[in-house]
Amino acid sequence: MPSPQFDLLQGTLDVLILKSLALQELHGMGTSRRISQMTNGAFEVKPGSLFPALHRMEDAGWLTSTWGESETNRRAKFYLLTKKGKKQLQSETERWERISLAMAAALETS
Amino acid sequence: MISRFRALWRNLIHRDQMDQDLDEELHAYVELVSTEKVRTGMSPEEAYRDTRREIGGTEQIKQGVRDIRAGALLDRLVQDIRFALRQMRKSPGFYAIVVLVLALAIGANASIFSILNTVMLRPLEFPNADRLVQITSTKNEKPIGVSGPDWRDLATHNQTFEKIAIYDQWRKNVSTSPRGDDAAEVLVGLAPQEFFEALGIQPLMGRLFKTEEGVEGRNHVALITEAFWKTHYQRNPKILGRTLSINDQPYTIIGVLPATIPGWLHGAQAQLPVFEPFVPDPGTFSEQSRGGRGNGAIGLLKPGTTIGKAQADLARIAQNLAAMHPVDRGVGISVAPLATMRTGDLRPLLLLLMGAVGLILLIACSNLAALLLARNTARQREFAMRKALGAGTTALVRQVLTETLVPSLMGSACGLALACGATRALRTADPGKIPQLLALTLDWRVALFTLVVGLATCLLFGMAPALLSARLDPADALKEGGRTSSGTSRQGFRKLLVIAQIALSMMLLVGSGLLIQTLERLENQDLGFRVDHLMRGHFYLPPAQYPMADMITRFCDRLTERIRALPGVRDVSVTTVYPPSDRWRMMFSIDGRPLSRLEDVPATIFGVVDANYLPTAGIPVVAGRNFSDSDRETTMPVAIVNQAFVKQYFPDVDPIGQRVELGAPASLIPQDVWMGTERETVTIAGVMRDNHNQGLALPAAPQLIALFRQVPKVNFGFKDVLVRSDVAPEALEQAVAQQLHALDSRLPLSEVETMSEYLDDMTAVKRFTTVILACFAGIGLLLAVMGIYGVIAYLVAQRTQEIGIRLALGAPQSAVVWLVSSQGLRMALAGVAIGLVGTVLAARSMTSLLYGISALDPVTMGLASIVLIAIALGACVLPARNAAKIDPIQALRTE
Repeated sequence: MPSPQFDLLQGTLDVLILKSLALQELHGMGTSRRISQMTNGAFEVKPGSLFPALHRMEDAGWLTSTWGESETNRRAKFYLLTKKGKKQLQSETERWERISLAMAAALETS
Repeated sequence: MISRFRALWRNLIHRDQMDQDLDEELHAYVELVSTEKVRTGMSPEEAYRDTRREIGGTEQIKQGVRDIRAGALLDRLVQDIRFALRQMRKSPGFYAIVVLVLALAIGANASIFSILNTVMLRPLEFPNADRLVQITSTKNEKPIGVSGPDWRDLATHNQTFEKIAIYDQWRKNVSTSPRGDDAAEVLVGLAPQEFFEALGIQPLMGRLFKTEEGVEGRNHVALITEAFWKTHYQRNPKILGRTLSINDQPYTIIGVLPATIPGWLHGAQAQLPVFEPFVPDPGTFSEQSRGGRGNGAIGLLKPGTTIGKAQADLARIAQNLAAMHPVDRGVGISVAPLATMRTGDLRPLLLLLMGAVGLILLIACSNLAALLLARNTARQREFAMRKALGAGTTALVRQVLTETLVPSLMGSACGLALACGATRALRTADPGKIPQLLALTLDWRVALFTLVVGLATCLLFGMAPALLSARLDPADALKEGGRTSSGTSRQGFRKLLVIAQIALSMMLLVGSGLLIQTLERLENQDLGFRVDHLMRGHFYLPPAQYPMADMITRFCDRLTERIRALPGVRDVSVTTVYPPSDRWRMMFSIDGRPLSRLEDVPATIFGVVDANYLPTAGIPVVAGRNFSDSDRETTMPVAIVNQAFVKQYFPDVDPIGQRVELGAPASLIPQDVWMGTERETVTIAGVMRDNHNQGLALPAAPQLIALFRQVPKVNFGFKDVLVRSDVAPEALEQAVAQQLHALDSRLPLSEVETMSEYLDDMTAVKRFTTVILACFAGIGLLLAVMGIYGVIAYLVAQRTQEIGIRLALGAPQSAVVWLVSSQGLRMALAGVAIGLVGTVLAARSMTSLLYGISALDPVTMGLASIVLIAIALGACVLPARNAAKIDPIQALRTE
């Protein structure tokens, strides 16, 4: 039974991608799978959103990429965080923590 | 920031590499996902298909990536421009027309408005330009210049002027060498101190004139201008105190003037090289010389005063003067901004050009509008298709925008290049009569204006159909087959545009037709004398060397003797008059017809000549006798009058033997302008045929000529020489000048030219304008033809099916041809009718420019109408033939 899926909240994609790349470098599909895994299948990132986001973040200097070999022995592009990307992840994490705390508090009081 | 730039760089330069990489990246993704599915037990093919379905089109993903990449905007622009260029290559004819139309309109407008800006619109370059005015006395509304006494009265009694300055200019022999043998006749300015002060001119070195130098005897000081200083003294810094010879009199150079006094103040093309103090003759300030007007005057208004106030102020003084002095009766005064003097008589011609070039811009804009509207309306189906295939509205609009902008910018660039070339060509081809044209430069504000107008038109009419189709439901547009859907209203608008073009072209055509005929009449009319094989020159015998009238007579006799002996010379005459324009006017009275009031005294065009004048000029004697060599100083003074003189003053009596007293009757005014206290009575010995004496465009006025040897009082040093030759007159110019030099080495012969050259110069500006106007009419016609052709061809394309049906039902080909042509004919007729109305409305402003032809000339209008209708039908021929050749089966099958 697949877990219910959500539409990505505005601004969540970036932080999810950054988080998924925090520990190891991954190729496009790896990132997608990792996000799915991290969110227990709640977020399924479609390639139509994933690749533009990856390229945008690369242009912004948060990610860098190298060509390596995939599990199927095919040339694949691997992404990893830059120093700037790590800083971005940190500030985004803090922001999201504050938002979730605030949301939780708001929903509890009622 | 730096990473953004790096990304931008990478994306733009390695675009292909980036695309390839993206491809590979996506491939890897698809493969990885499929592999995963295979592991769950799918067949590889099934897995691959499943994956593809899941992720949607890879192209969309790629576009998504491209759209967010740094520099995507720029990238898209490049793409759009490439697309636009590809479009242009696909229909070169259409785009060539757009570019051409824009180039012509922008080129013509930028050039003409640059001319207007240079000679008419640009503010004067004086410190107090807005307060400077021209003052002139007027008689019967015509400017006649001011007199010395006028100046004195105006300057002392006015309340609105800071300064009023009188000035004048005379042709004088100026020499810079101590021996005076390099004299040249130049126009010398005569101006008081106030003249320079009013204009706000500071000398580059030295000083200006002082008030006390405006007195006979103390006036031998001169100011030279920068250009003269440069050419004659090589900018010698020790120029002050050097001597200059003017009419054989020494003048001390006291200053150098900057090159800021325009020649048009003196009716000259360029700045005058030398100025000397304005010295009123002993007679100028005497009360009797009030009538001797002809000087220029400028004034500097007090701050805050308007022209109207100044005019009223001076008019009040003029009124008082008229009450006090009989000679001032009927004399008014006019005050006008100094800038109006700059264009002078050219003003109406320049305004005509301005109107014409404005028409061209209108025609061009409506043409572009029609073209773009037609094309993009026809493409609505394509737009709908694109939209159906998923193109966003913005993408669609962006594409049409670039498609319109690219040819517009190309056209504009061509237009500006054209304008640059044209202004340069005009500067060199200047007829020499348009003041300041030498300073012509392309005005960037003008260029910008025409550019904006052209671009705005293109964008407006290019974009409108695209915007409309963007709002359209693609399904509807496609359903209707992209045909007839655009509605008859837009077709109607296009037709209106074409009709407007025809109407405007009609006005241009009639205008240029009228001017061409005017020119033809001016140049080919019988001027009353023989123009060919005639040359003229001017010389001046200065009073310092030739103080007595008989010395002048003797010099002229010896000169004509020598010139007559030259090979190729048939006849020669020294004279002060020659057709077709004489300015000297003399008051007179006829023996036996007493006059009691000064304002009743008639004036005639007057001149003094030698006995050979009439045969030399080729003017026949129609009654009585010609002057002869036996008319001497000691015999009875005789005169010859023209037919107009006889008609006006002796309509019923034989003029021969009538006695005329030259100068106003001494009983009414003791001091005559020309005769002073003396009077001379001449007896009419003959009547000459009328010849033009008020310029090319006016009929002959009464004229009287006498022999200078018999009227010593008016035997001045200013003389012209006319030579009638058997050979080409140009060939004699040098020899004639040599004969003058041989008699007196200090005398220059100036204004040497053949009579044909002289006449050509008189019509030069008109010819210049006519040529430009004719070009405009040609451009207008061309544009109108393209407009008609475009509309008709489009109509035929739209009605192919209908025409096919008609033909299938048995309509003869001629009926189809008529069906198509009648559309064009209807537009042409409407355009011509509106154009005729416009011509009639504009007739009043044309009248002053025409000669011998009415602004409402029916022949010209009729011909222009026929030409336009014929051209309109001609433009229909091709589409009509195509329509008649439509194969009914083909036409019906295509739908």
